[in-house]
Amino acid sequence: MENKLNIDELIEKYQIGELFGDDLIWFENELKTNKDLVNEFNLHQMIDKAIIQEDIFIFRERLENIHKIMILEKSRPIKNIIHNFKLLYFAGAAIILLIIGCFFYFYNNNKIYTNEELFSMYYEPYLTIAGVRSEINDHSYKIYSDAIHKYSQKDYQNAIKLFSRLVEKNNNNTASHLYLGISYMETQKFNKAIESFQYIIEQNDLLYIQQAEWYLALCYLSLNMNEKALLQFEEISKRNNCYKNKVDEILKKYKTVR
Amino acid sequence: MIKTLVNNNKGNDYDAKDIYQEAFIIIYNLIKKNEFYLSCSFKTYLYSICRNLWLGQLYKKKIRKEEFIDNEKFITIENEIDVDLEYILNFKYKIFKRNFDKLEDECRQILILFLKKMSFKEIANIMGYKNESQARKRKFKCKLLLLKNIKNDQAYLELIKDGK
Repeated sequence: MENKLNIDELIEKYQIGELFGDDLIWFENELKTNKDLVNEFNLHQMIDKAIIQEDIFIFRERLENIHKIMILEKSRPIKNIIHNFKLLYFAGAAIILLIIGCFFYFYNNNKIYTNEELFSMYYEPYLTIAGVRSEINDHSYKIYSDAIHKYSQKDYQNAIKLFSRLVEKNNNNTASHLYLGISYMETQKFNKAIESFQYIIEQNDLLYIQQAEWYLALCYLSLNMNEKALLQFEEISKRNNCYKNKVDEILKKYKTVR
Repeated sequence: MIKTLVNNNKGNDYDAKDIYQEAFIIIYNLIKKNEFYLSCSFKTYLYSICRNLWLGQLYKKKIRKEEFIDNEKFITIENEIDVDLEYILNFKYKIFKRNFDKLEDECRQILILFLKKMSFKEIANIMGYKNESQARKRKFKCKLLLLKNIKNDQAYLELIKDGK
């Protein structure tokens, strides 16, 4: 048995209830005696639990934010730091080096990106076909399939009509909100797109919140709402998710010219 | 209060922040499990949890309990060892979640859908896969990738090295 499948495959099959008969008996006996298997099995279970424990991570993030706010409140302007000539000397040298550094930095990074350029460099419509939730009934499923079809054909006007109907029928279908938002972006209706993405963020939907935050930031960028865009990008950057690298690149380009 | 406790006992402000946050997470979990009972003031309770957590950290650093300096009243937390276990568990969860967040959208979605108890047929429909078999394979690949990343995570390796 162990030769045919590796430990991960066995655990996977056991977890989804696809181990039967002798295999199942063998596996359960092993779980009583085989320490490595037990450790691996526990690791699988803990990972699953961690993934769906979203509330703890939101709570942790809030605690972290409170801590940051407290630090900010406590920080005061630095006064009388330079106590002696030696320190002054080093401070002066550091400033000169900083100026030289800045000169070279700006000399080498003098490309100024407009919001429009940044947008076209980083924006692409969401491609994964996802989103039918189990609570959608058959009729809605038909509309959803049509909507996804229109969306994938880049027929965004009709996709908007269909996704809007779905959202009216069942406001909880966050996938439709996401596709609706992107369809609005594709048709240059950025303010409408913002409403869709903000809705997903308000719902704190685990599946689509990262995408919603990313596209919301791009909408702000496109509308030249620079302050909001910057805040939104910085928020994503803190999260360390799959958009982080793109966002960090944007932030570098963004901050140098504003 | 917590800062003083940690700073008085060979720690710094950063350690104090960590201990304080972990204590709140433990209390939050106890409330969720309906296992939170107050037999003293909340302040004393919080101090006692932080005290246990910090004692656990000092034990790892081989600093003797007798040298510990208290600055507040404290109570004995039942199942004292659980506080330390909770701390390690929460730390592991942080590592798991961090690696999960780094996965591609598709993998994150498929794993969440699976953990939301959806069938592979439903997952195949949602994700636009040809059939259940493809959904099953994708889910397995994503889980393996996540496992691999976690097992290569430096913080996780250190935990394993410490026998946690």
